[in-house]
Amino acid sequence: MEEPKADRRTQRVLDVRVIPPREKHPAIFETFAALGPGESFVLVNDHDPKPLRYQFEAEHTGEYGWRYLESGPVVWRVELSRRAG
Amino acid sequence: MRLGLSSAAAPDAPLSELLAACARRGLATLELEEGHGHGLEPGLRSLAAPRDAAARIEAAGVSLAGFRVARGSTARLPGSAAGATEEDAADAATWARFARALGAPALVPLHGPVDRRAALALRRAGVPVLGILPPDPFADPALASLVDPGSEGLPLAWDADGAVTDLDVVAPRLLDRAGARLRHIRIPGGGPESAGREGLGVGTLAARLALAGYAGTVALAPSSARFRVVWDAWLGRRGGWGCGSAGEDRSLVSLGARTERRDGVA
Repeated sequence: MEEPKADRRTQRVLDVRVIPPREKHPAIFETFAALGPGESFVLVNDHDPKPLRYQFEAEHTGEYGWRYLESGPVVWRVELSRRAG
Repeated sequence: MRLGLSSAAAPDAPLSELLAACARRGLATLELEEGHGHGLEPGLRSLAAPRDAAARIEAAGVSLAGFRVARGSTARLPGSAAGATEEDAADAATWARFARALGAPALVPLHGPVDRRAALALRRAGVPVLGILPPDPFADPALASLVDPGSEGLPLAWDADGAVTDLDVVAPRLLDRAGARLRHIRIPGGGPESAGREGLGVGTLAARLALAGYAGTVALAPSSARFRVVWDAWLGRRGGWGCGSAGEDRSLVSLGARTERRDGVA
């Protein structure tokens, strides 16, 4: 009946739909900066975060992984990871 | 984190409209508050309504985060008076049956000693309970002690209102001390209001929740009833502007046009 106790170590979800627009990108980059090599989080948004990907490509070339888990039409989920090595 | 909607976003909406709004916005969870248009109440004579609601919520692919006790009504909960009474036992049994039928925990505000006694009495009666912490639980030593590991072990919810407390200060302390006992967070001023909420620390809060692996639910709710119009539009409950009805209530706010009125001045 109660929410199951999830494994807090395996689920990292940053849902930016709740975040004021001006705070979105800083929150995403703050989360990415805290990742260790090989770690990841799932970014949830209400539109395709293509501009964000361009920003990652410009500022973190070769350091990040980007994988779409869901591509709309209502919700977009992207697994963002920090590449190991 | 699983993002969802509070019925406070549309207090007059029946369950069908809340579920349609969740589908429209891709929201995964629902927080129902006592007294709202869904019509569910622990005191209902039949359990058919909560059972039917639970089935409809599940069929819509939404999970029920909890049933929130309205502020001020905890005096009616068992344990609110000093000493156990037969009436308390009956109330607790009613709540237990209701929560079982609904398949969701009771969300009980922990604003004062009466609330805390009620939450713990419900829990002792076998009702799954999340105690709702106010925006800064550390301002009250009695609440702070409930947060500490090894206290009463009460699972917790939190009203994360960045308008009345510094989320950057409270959130890390709360996440550290409550750990996995923090299961549900309500964020007043989310959703369509977020465009006007810069600087309230919601972005940093979301980043902290993600990094902490917070796997609980987050419910979006209005910060004020004055935002009802923008919430209705965001949830698809009204077709936008120009019908003439929305403009009649001049206390209501349109964020898009930035026409918030204070003291009659646009």
